Amino acid sequence: MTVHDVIKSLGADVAVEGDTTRLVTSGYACDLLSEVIAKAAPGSAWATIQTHVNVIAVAAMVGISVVIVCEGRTCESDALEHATKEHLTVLYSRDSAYTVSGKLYVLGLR
Amino acid sequence: MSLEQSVEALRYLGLFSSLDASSIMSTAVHALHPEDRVAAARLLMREKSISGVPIVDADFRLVGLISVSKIIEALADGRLADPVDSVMTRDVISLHAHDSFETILSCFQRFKFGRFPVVEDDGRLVGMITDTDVLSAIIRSFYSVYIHDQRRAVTLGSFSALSKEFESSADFVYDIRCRGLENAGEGSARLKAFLQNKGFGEPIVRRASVCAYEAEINVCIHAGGHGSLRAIARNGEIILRVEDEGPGIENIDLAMKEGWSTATDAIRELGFGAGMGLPNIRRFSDHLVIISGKDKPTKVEMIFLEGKE
Repeated sequence: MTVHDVIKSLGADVAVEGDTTRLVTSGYACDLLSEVIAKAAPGSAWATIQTHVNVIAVAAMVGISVVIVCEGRTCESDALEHATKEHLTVLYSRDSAYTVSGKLYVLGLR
Repeated sequence: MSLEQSVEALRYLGLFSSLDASSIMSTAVHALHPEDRVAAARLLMREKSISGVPIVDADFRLVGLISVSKIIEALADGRLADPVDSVMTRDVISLHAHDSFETILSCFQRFKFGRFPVVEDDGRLVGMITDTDVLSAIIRSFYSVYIHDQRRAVTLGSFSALSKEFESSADFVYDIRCRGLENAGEGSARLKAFLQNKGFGEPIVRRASVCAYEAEINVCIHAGGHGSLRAIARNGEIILRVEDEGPGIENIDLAMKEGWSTATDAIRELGFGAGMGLPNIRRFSDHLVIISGKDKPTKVEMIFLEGKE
């Protein structure tokens, strides 16, 4: 599936619309950046409650396809600017990372 | 490698730059006065298992030294009851408390003595340095070197050789100038693009940039955001060097443990400081050398070999 499919299925708000035709091949949920950078696979959808600019740096480093910011949180403006520069899609969801992960799992992401 | 070359290499690494005579010497020193008898010196040497006794005046200024060979001479001449003043060596080669590690080593090389008294500027005896003290100091310094490699000698050897290469011909140079965490990761992002442009494969690029990111974040969190990120990338090999200006890692063994961190709560809330930085670097690099210590700069050198995944 693509980032576009994830947006449609989650019903999340789009904070930054990046490259939505990118493939999403797996998922990862974690708020510790070192864990994410070490373990998330390139092409992942990443669910987190972190909202600062380093989230985008980590996502770019790993090759994350879409970041889903959970619990109704919103990103700081420099994070959004950076995501725009990186053509990285950032979504806002009111759900918890658990629920978002569950939804992504049901969609077929493993 | 000759002793001189080794000393030069170690000086280059900055390992012993902080060592002076006063930090190496033993201060638990036994001394005698000129009027003490030779027999007292002989007894002292036997009881304390030492091979030489410094002789000091009433103000503790060094005036001579009596060694085992002088005792043997005195024994042969039947002069054990004489004052040490009459048999001691007067022109003693001594070190100054602030003499550098290289001066100390060259003293041992030149004079072939097993021990040197250490004096202050006013000539007062403050300690003694034996070859064992020098060896212990070297071993203590190496305690602050962590090497993640079975082939320790090989890695350390390549490290010292590369040090020079980094000065002159790094392919990639980025000055880390980070206030807080706002542009933390910028250097590693640029490095990643640089490596991709150079045609390195995705797996090695990922490993190198993950490690660069962790090291850069460490500079931002722990070293005031000032440092450098340099790389030499050629022939299927990427060598990364991240340096900062301190305050250094007090206990590298602890820092290598997963989950151990000195980061503040504020930093942790942002998802950093989980104690995974150095463990991640160890996991993703093929060779790793860290040189640091309390109140010292930290140097992290990582080597990545293409196709090692």
